[in-house]
Amino acid sequence: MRPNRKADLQRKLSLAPVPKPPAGLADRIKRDIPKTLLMDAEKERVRLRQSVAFNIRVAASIILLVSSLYLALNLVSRKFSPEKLDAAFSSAPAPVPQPQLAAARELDRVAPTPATPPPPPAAVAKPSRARLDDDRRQAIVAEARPEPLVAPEVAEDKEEAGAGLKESATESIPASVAAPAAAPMAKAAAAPAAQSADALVERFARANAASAMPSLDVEAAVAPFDDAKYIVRVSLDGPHGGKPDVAFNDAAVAAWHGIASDGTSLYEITLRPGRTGNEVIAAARAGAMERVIRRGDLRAWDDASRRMKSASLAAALAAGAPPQDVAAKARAAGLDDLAAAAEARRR
Amino acid sequence: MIAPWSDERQLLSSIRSGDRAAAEEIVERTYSAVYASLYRLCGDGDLAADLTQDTYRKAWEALSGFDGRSQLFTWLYRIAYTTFLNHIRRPRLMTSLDAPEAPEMPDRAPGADEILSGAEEAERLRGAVLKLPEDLRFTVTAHFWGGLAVKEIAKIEDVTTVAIRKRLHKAFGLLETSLDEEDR
Repeated sequence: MRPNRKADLQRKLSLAPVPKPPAGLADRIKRDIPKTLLMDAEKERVRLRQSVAFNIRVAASIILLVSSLYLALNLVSRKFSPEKLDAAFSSAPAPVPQPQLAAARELDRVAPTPATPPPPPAAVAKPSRARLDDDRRQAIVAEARPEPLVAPEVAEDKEEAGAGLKESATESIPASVAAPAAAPMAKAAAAPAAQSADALVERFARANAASAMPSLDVEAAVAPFDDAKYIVRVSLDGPHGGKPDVAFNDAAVAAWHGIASDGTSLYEITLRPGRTGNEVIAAARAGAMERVIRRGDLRAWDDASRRMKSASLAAALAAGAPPQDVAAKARAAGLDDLAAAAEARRR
Repeated sequence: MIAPWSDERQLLSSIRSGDRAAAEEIVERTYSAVYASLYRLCGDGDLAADLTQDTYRKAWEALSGFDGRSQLFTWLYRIAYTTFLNHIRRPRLMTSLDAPEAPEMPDRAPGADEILSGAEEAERLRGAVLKLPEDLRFTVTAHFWGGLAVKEIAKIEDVTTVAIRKRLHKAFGLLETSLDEEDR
């Protein structure tokens, strides 16, 4: 394209005739300005207000929902929190010593712990940290039970427990527990025992190695001579200044009684018909340490730890179980020292 | 003709807050330019006036959608151009630019040969412009008849200024060819 031609076209385009607008056009246009133009702003404001109000309502609903959820979770978690556990322990009335326990303590006063070292028990698997935290969260305490706890303070009343309690023990033992064939350990309360349950249990259920730090070891397994019952062992090892507190869940445990309470505490329990494996059987606490035993934690006799077997058989022996039966069980479990002690008692 | 940018934004803000006087002020400042653009597009004074009125009607309706990215007049020109296109596309009103009943030039002064010749030349040019492809036609009319800067056109067309200049160059080529063919 030639430059002159282009310039000519540009000139012609730019200089196209521009007439004046007809008179009154501006007025016509102004008349068309909508009257609602004035209203639009107000409409916008109203719409904005409505929109903001709606958003605020939605936000408030969400906040309310989240708050409610948080509150509900908080209440639920508080119901099963360690603080509640503390409250349960602290508010529980002083438990009455069980007859068997009193009898065993009396025997303990008479027969000192032998000096011979116990056989090394098998290492007991301890629950993981995560499991412990979970247990802490879900621990159920038998709050309604008027006497849910084994009384650690009972030991201080050892002197008063004395022979009187020992004599009354026989009368208070339930028939099912006292049946010789069904519960040899319970029979011990009535039978004269040559050695205290606490001492025997402590001798054979002592921790394998001395621990520099206090530790709480719990386990539950079938009773050695009664498959319908279970033994709960709570061992507080290492340096410590007290005894563990134990609470049983009434919903899961039909009956329980203490067998030994010195260092290693033993309880014989009868469970209610089973529910889920997650159901809490008992909770033990010593200082800041807490352990929970669930139905799923219950072990068969053969699966129980060496320490558990030692403690259970020692308690049975102290309670008057036939020494030959104890010896046989001990031999089967590889507990030669305990077997020898049982045979010696037989003689 | 066109309000300063800041002043224009202030007027728009006033209109949006319901100030009718601000809307009238905008009309006063822009209607002549809108009318001139439409007149150049359609070549008919009465039609240009009607289209100008239509343009502002549409503008009031669409004012809430004006985002202020371009100048107000650029936005108005776009509405005016679309209004013009809608008008000529209506079948009942569509007229051939070559037909005898094509819009008359109102400035035509009877008996003035020189003016008549210039007017005919302008009409031929207008016809050639309106026959350009859409993108070139809008670019040429917006730049030369609407008085929009290349930068403004690029903004509303969402292309670069280079693309607009290329469009103009191409349009000149087509216009030259078209006018030369008519001359032969």
